[in-house]
Amino acid sequence: MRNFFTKAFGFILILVAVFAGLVALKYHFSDRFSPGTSGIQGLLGEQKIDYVFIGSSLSRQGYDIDFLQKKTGASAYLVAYNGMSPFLMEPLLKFLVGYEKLRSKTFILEIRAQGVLAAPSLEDTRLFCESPVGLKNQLFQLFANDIPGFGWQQMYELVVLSGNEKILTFPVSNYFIERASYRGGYANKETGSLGPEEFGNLRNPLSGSQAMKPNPRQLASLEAILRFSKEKGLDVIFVAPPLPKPIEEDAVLKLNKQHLGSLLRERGFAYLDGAERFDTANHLYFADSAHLSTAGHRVFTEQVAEFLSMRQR
Amino acid sequence: MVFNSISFLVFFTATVITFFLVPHRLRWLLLLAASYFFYGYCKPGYLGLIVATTLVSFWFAKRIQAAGNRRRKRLQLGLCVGFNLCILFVFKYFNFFSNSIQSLLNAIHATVHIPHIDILLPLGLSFYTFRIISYLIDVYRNDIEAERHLGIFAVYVAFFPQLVAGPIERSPHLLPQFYREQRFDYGKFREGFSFMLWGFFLKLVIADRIAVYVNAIFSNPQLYTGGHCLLAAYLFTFQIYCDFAGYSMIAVGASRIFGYDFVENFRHPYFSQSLQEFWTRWHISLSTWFRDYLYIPLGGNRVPTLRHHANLGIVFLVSGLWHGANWTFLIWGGLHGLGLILGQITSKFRKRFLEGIGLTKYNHITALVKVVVTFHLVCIAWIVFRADSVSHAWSFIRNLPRGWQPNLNYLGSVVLPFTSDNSAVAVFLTSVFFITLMLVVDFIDETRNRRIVYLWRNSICFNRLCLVVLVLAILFFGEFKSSSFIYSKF
Repeated sequence: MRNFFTKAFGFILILVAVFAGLVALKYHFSDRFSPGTSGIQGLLGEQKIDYVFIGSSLSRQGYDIDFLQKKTGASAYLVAYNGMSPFLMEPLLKFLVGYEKLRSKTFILEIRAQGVLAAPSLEDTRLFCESPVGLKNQLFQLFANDIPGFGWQQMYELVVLSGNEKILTFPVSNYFIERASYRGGYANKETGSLGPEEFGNLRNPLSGSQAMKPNPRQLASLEAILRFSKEKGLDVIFVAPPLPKPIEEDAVLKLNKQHLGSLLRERGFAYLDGAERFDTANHLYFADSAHLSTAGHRVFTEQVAEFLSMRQR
Repeated sequence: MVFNSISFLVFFTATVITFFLVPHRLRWLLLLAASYFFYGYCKPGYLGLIVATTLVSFWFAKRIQAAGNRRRKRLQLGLCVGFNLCILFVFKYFNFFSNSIQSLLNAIHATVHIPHIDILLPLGLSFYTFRIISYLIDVYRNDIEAERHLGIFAVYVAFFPQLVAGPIERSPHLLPQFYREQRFDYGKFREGFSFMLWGFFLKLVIADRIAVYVNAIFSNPQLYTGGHCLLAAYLFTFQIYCDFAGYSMIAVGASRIFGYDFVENFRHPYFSQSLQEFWTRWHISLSTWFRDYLYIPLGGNRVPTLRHHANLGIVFLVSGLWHGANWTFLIWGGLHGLGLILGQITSKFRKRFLEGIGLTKYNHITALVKVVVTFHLVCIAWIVFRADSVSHAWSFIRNLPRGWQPNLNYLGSVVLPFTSDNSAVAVFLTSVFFITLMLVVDFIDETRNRRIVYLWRNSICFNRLCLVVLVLAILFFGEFKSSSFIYSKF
């Protein structure tokens, strides 16, 4: 029996040591396995970018980066992670500004009412896996302090489980990912549109009293972004991507969107409401309740490009 | 309580430690208490039914043994088997048959209303019912004496590793083991631990990973193209194997740690060269149950050909229905029965065909062709098994040739439902990697590669390395959002 316990103990010891070593290696080097044409690592590989877009999947599906560069004659890069909100944008922006090798003229940040209404969360673990160690440490502290219910299980899922498939298959998977992306956005992706009936049935996905007013933590992050931008003298533009008309006209979202727009303008920041000159009633422009279709993103990119070109002059 | 949960690991560890600390005469009590705790963990209400059927069946078995003549034995057997089947029917099949009859009556505009019972299917009912029925028949046939110890019999019925999804252990094999004093055996512990790890690997790393894709496509096949449907069909073929074989490995491994031997339930079924062989390798405990308690009593293959084929059809239809109360399961069973019948009818023709094209000279190629064909036949049947309804299955199959595009971007879009973002490619490749690894290990086991088997059994370093790699694969690639096993729903 003693022999058994000795062997079992030895086995567990070796296992724990190997496990801890692999987790440490992953924590320090997971960003090295990221694709070179999207995400933070793709951007850090560039040196001078005129327009850096930061946003969620709405931005990823909203902008045609290649088309935008041709229209504006300027270089652009999109850093988009699902569920991006001011809470996640704050550390990311601070990191990018502090990264010496990267020089950027203008930051275009996605601002959407749903992002500010929702409690802080991490929807896309790629943000964590693709970040260099310094940014990872900051993000990890933020998650532990501010994401509700972020416990041991979430920590394990984030640090140990997330992104392993990419690491295991990176020589092959990165090839396909890099083919399908261009400077952070999609390359040649065709996204279909909603049918008229589906469009008419769209409703605000956020519901309940929690969705009535901005989340305090999100607002605090937004304030921090505004303060930081003023301190560093950054040229920052806020853009609200257009949503389908039934969603735009939702009373709660409309009120919060107006409030955000007023706040940003009062603080002296440029704010573009994507819905203002966009045909939000056209079902062909939308793939679902939040994202633009291929047809829609062309139109939206043209509007944004026009806006940026006017600012340039 | 599911196997793939922290609560099970804590429960199992505590039970094993306590098992080897308590005296042998009290172990049945510990195992029974643990088994009832395991079963009642989520729904204590289920316990009443299993206790009731245990008590009734125990009493009837003694009456069967004590019955003076064959006629009386048969009567007692019929009553008790009928009692168990009635319970199974009420909980599992009543609503299915009532809905089907209602649909038929509605179709002929009859205004009869058949009641519907709002009732949940108790976990493992199909499995322990069949265990009890096999015991009763074994007592009737004098293969085993009626168990005199109620507690031991209750442990046989409810022993937790096999309770929810088998294997369906036979009484002559399992009951005597509960009487033997089990001492802690390091070899058995190591073997059991390896089996459990392999089972967790199959379930958490492979089955639950590919379930995301399979569920997305099968829930709405009309939204996807033929490429998506084909991939989902292949992936489900591996999902159900890894899920069910994974469960069985965990059950066999857990019992081995206690010192008990369970029957092998899977023997690399996707290496089968015919549907007949498939059923000697897939869910072996169920197929042998049907062979011994239905097929052979019906006459088996010792009857005229037509009757033999009818027997096969009946067995597979019943087997299909055992899996679930839905026409899809019946059709799935029927497809396998039909496949077996056609296989037997065409066996001489196929042999002559292979000889004619000269393929019999190349054993390996012939075997590979047979394996691939059998795999695809099984895969097609799984589509029906997985679908929610017959029309759903038909819609899925009709979708298979649609929307194909000969370019790389299309392949990228086919794998997208894994995660709906660009990491889908990585998840797909990871799934393929682990499925390939599983097939390689199965192949090594199938061919009993002497070098590898020798290393596994005799080289401590190799053995430990394999176990460490397996644990790390589970820790880094396991899907831990606790999901139930597919066969626990049957």
